[in-house]
Amino acid sequence: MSGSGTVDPLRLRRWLQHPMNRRALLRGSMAVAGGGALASLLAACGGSGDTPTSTGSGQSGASGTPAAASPTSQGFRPVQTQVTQQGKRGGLLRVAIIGEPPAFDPTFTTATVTANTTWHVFETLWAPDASFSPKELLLDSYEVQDEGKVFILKLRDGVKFHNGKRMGADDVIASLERYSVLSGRGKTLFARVEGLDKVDDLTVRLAFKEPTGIAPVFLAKTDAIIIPKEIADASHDGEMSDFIGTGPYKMKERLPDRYISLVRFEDYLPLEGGPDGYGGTKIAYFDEIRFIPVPETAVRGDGLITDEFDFAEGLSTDNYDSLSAEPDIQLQIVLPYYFYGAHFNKAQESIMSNRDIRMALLTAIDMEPVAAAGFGRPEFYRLGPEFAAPETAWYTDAGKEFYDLNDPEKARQMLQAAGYDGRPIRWIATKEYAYNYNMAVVLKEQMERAGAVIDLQVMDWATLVATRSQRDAWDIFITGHESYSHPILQPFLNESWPGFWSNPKKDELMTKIIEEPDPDKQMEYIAQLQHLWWEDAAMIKVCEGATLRGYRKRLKGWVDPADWFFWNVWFEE
Amino acid sequence: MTAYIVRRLLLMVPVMLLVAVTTFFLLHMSPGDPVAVLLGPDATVEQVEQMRAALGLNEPLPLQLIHWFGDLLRGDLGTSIFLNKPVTEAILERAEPTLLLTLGASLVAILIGVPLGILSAVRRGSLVDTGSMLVAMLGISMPTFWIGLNLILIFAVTLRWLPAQGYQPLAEGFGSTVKYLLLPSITLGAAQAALLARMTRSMMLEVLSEDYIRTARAKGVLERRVVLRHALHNAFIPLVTVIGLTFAVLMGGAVITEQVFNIPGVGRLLVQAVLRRDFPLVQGIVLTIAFLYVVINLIVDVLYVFLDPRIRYG
Repeated sequence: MSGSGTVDPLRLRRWLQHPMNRRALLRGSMAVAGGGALASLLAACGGSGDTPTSTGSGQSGASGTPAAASPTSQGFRPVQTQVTQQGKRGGLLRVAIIGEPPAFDPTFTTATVTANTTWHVFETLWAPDASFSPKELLLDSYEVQDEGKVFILKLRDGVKFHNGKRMGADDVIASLERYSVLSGRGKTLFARVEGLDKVDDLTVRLAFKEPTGIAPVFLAKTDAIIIPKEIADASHDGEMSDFIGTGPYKMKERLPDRYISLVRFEDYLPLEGGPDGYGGTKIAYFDEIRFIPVPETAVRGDGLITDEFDFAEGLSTDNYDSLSAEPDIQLQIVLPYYFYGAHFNKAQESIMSNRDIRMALLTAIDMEPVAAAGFGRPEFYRLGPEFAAPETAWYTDAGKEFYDLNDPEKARQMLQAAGYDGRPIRWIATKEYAYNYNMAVVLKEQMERAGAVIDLQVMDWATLVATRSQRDAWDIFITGHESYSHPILQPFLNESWPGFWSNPKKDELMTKIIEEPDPDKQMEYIAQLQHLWWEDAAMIKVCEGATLRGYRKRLKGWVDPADWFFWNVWFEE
Repeated sequence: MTAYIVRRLLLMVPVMLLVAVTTFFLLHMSPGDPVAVLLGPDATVEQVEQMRAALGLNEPLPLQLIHWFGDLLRGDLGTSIFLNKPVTEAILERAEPTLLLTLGASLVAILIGVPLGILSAVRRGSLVDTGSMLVAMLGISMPTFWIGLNLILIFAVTLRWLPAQGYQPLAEGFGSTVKYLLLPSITLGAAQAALLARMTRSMMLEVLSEDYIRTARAKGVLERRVVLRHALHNAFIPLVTVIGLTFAVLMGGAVITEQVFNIPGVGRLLVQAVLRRDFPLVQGIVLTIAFLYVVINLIVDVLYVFLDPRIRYG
C-alpha cells in the first residue's frame, strides 16, 4: 500500500475481486493514514508558515489542522484517525456558497453545488477515498462473482435513515432503479444491468450482462444516493421533495436564496477506521450548518472578513493578496479541481467535424498564456495533457506529443491542407465565468494567427447551454470538468453530450475500461483513451484551474478536499 | 370620483394584458433553456429533451400562452420550474425584504432629497445651493452597485459597524432588520434622493416666483412660514407624483441592490429567474411589479384631489 498520493493497483484489484469486511477496511484506512504520516514528516521538513493550506496526497500537511504549508492544495491532506477524537461538538457553521442549488437532489441534477451540499444528507454505497478511488460506505462488504458479471452487495447493519427507518435491500433497489432512470451515468451503467434483486434484507445481487468491473466507480458518485424506498418510488422520474438520507446531517429547513439549514443526525452510525477522503468515519460536530447562497463573489469575500461566514467558496483570485493579509483567515488554493479547455463540435453539421481542421487549431496553441488569462497567477493553474490529475490513480501523460505545440506556421499549412475555406468558426462564450471569456479571447487570437477566422459570440450561461445542445448552432465552446474523477465518467465521452464525439475506437476502449477488472490493464486502456482523445483532437485541453476558498482559522480539522464537506470539522475558539 | 376610480381600474385590464403578452413573448423568444440549467452541466441532450417534454416546454408557443392565460384568469401565476412551488407563494415569501427595502430607500430619498431641494431653492446661487446640486449630480451619476460596494467596504469591512450582506426578517427583531437594511436603503435611495433634491429645487423656485408669495412677503409673513406653508404646499403637488413614482422605481431598482447585498427579496428572485430562464417566475414577477406600478399611479392621482382642490375628476 502506498501513501494517499498514489494508488497501488493491487488495492483496486482487491476491491474488485474479493469480498471485504470491516477488518480489511480498517487495515486499508490505517495504511492510508500511515502513508499520510510519512508524507507529513516530509512536509514538516520542507513546510513553511501560514500560507494557503496545502495538502495531502503525499505532498504536505503535517496534521489535521488547517495551518499547513505550501501554496497549493493537492488533493486531501493525510487524514489521521485522531482527528475524530480531537473535535468539539457544537456551534453553527455558516458557509457562503456560489448560489442556490438548482435542486436539492443529486440524482436529478449534475450541478456541483447540489452534490456538495447534499452529500451531508445523502450517502452512497461506495464513496471516493483520499485517492479518489471507491471505498465502501453504506456497504459492509461486497463480492464480485462470475468474472465481474455479478456483484453481491452486503449492506451495513444498523444504518438508519433520518426518519428513523433502518436501511435495507428494498431501499437500495428502489434508489438504484431511480438512479437508472434519472441520472445520465445511471443510464449508462444500467444499460448493462441484467438484474437487481434482493437476496435478503441486507443483501442485494446486482447482475450485469457483461463483466462490469467499473461499477463501484459509478456507484461512488453522488448521483447514486440511497434513499428510503417510499421516497424513491414517489420521485421515480422527477425531483424529490422529501430529503431523507443516511448522512451525518439531516435537513432542517430550506429557504431558497436565504439558506439551507442542516442539523446533526444524532442516530448516525459512523464507519470505523478513521476518515478517508469523502468516506470513512464521519462525525458531525456542528449543531447546525447553514449553506448561504451568495452569488456575488466580492460579497462572499467581504462576509468572510467581517465574520458573517466561517467558510466561503469561489473567492476572487484577484483578492488573493488582500485576503491573505487577514490574520483570521486561511486560504485554500484547490487543486486538483477542474480542467478546462475548448470543446469542438464534432457533429456533421459543424465545420469542426473535420478532424484535420481540429488538429491544425490544436497545433497552433501556446497553452501558458491561455491558462494565465483564465486563472491569473501560476499557483492557480497547472499545465499538462492529462484528463485525470496526478493525485488520482488514473493519471497518465499519454498524448503529450499533441499538447502545447505552439506552432502557428505549421497550423496554417495544416489548415490549408485540410481545405479550410476561411469560413467563420462560431465560438460561443460567456462572461458569467471570467475564465471562459478570458481564455476564449487568447485562444481566438492564437488561432487567428494561424489563419482561422473566429466569430466570438458572447452570451449568458443559460443561452450558452441551450445553444450548445443544437448541433448546427456552434463550433467551439469552453467548459471545465472534474480532474479527480475516473475518466470513464467524463461527460464528453458520451456521444450525446455537446461536443458530440463519435468514434468507434473510443467506444471500444470505453467498453474495455468498463469491463476490465484488472486495474493495470484498465490503466492501459485509460492511457489509450487519453491518447485517442488528443490524436482525434476531440478538444483542446488547456490546463487544470484552481478555485480559491477561505475559512476562519477557528475552523479545525479541515483536510483541503477538492470538493468541500463539513463532517470531521469543528470550531476551536 | 368613484366613477373615475372604477374607470381607471377597468383601464388596468388592457394594460396588464399588454404587459403579460409582451413579457411572455419576449421571454420565450430570447435564447436559453431552463432545463439545461436545471439538470446541470453534465446532462446529456437526451435528458434535457425528456425534461423539456415533461415540463410542457416543447409545446407550440401560442398553446403555452393559452395555458398560461387560462391559469392567470383563475388567479394562478403558475409554478416555478426551479423552486418547484407556486409563483405567488414564491413572490409572497420574498415580499417582506423588498417592501421594507423600498420603504427604507424612499425614506432616505425623501428625508435627504426634499430638505436639500428646499434649502437650495431658498438660498439660490449660494455655496449651499451649488454644493447640494453638485452632490445631487454625483448621486445621480454613480451606479447603484458601485455605491453599494463602497459602502460595504467602508462601513462593513473597514469599520465593522454594519453587516456586509444578508437580511433578518422582522419576526427576528426590528432592530436587526434595520441594521441589515441600513446600507442597502442608503445605496438604493441615494440616486432618488439626488433626483428628488433637483426636482424639489426647481418646483420651489417656480413657486417662489409666484405673485402670491410676493404678496405674502409684502404682508410681512415670516419667511419660514412663506417657504414651508405657502410655497412648499403648492410645490408639493407635482412632487407627490415624483415621490409616488420613486417608490415604484425603487421597487424595480431593488434588483441590483438586493444582488449586491445578498438580500433574498423579489429583485434577487427576478435576477435568478432570468438567469435560469424560469419562465413562469419571471412572468409572475414582472406582472406583479407592473401591477404595483399601475396601482401606485392610481393612488397618486387620487391623492391629487386631496392636495389640490382645483383638480376634479369627472
